Amino acid sequence: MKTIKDIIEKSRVILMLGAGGVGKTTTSILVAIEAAKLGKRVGLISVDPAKRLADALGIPLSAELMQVQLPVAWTQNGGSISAAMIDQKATLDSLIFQFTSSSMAREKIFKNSLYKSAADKIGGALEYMAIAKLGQLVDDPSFDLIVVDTPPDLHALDFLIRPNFLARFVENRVMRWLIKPIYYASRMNVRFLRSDLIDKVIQITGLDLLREIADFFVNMQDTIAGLYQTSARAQQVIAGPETSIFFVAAPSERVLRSFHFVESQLASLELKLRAVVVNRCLPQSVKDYLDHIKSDEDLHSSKFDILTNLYRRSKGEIDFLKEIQKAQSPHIVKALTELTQNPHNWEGLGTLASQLSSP
Amino acid sequence: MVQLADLLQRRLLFFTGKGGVGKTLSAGAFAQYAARKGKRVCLVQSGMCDQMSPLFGKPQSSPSPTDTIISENIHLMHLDTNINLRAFVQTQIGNDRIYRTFMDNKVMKVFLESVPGLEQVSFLGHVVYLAEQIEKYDIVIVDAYASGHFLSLISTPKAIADTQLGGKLIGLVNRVQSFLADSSNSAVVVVALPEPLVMSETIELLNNLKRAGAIHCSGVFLNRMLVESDQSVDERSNPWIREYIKNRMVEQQEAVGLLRDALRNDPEILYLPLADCGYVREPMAKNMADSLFHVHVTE
Repeated sequence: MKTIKDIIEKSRVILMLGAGGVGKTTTSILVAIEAAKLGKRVGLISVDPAKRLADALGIPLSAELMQVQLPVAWTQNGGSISAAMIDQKATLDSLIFQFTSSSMAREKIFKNSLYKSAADKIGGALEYMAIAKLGQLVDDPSFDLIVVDTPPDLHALDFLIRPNFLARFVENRVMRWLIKPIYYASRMNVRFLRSDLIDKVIQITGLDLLREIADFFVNMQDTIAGLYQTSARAQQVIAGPETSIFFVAAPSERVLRSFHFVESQLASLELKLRAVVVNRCLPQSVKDYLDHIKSDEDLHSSKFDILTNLYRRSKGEIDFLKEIQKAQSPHIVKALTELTQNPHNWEGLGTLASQLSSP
Repeated sequence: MVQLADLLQRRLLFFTGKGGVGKTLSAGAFAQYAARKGKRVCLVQSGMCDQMSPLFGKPQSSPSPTDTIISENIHLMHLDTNINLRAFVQTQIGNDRIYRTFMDNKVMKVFLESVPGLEQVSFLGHVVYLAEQIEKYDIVIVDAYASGHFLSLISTPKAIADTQLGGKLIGLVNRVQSFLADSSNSAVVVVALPEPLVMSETIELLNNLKRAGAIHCSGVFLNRMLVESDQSVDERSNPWIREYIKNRMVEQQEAVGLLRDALRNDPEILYLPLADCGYVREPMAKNMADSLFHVHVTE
């Protein structure tokens, strides 16, 4: 696979990684557009709590996939884009409905004070939701390609590791050893056998909170097991050849550091990076012009005017691209030229999408 | 305008905002400013990848329970989940033995990692603990997570306190919550760029922060502002550059208008120059505070 277009044609899942503010959501949309142009029915999942995708495309925040209205020219080969913005509470609620068959257990979860106060506020849970969504969609025959836009801040790799964590929860019998005795004791209003360990836990949590936590986990056990199964399926797909991992970048030292970090994390998970998309590169004519009017002295000056800034950017960009290309992994590097105007409309996105799939 | 001197009065100051707007640079520059005003600063880097040390010309650090001095009067503390939990149990609950009992036991480890909110509470608990070390630090500056994650983080103690359960942990959570909610102790600065898409997310974050009531927002730093003279770039210059500057100016005006209307001076805005382009070069690194805040400190 030598071009981005090849990758789009041959992948079942494309996972977009990258630090915040580099245009990750925008690039996910570009990939979806190019796939739709090729006739693919695309499912686009965004787990970005900041709702930028919705902003850009005018789609409502919904855990369910909603078809996006595309310019007619892009849908002539029968392609389409359906997008979902993962909302934590709504997705969690729907998972509980899917996996918890007992209506009594469901009611207990929804009434649990931890769940009520915390379900939509607890950080980190969003990643589970996204991976569960991917697990649900990956075997759905109504989609040819699933594009996953991961959250910023390098939480993205949690997203890949989470199923292991759930597996530990299920397999380590936390329920049997720790939680169930407390749960049943409190249900039946009897004193349970206190071990040293449980005494230590109570020292920290207090008995009320421990009861509430036990209650929460016991009622959630079907959901956790179900989540584990879908997540394990998602993880299997991510590790397989039908998944391509993209790193989205914009030239800066910060992004370079996060690139090296992600690269080493991927290596430790035995996953391969297939492409790096570098957004916001300056056109060659601009670099030439700046070389003509600026000198090394300007680079190190404390001038803050726009031309000096652009010159610093152009020099930084050259170093950045060199560094990304010399990395070990045999990925494709695709540089996209910044538009003079904000690209968040179909015209701007169309221009960038064509750049993305050009050889 | 935001008064930097007011921000210096806080014991605990968080920096948040959309990804890529210059949170780390603003937090680092503010730490430098505080240090030059004679404050002993504890600068907290959260997350796995240390983006702060390179701004001070130091190699990237790994998470560690002890701080390192990265510049005169600036101690860097690079925290991650395990360290927070350990520090939390050690400092707030008593001794290391309890912690070791937990972590040597696989069942307990999995249990602790999965209790909703414990990760967030132990992080906040630990930074509040640092802020209470009056004999060691004057101010704790946290380069925090981006918008959505920050909102989850900062809302967690209140969510747990709202369960109205009893017990030692809940007592601690309540204490952390009141420290954060007290605007004489704690505040957050939101960093943003004058671009429409960033602005809509920033305004949403500011509204959500107000609604959550977990912490007081003491200012918006609007980073990378173009100035008047940038408009008068040579007519003969490159057409892409002319077009780019023209469009950026229009966007900037629109974005600043949106922000002003949404805020109505609460909190106030501090405009920062286009000092940062993603490549921190000398003398930026040595003089971040001067570059960003145009501060001339007479020693």
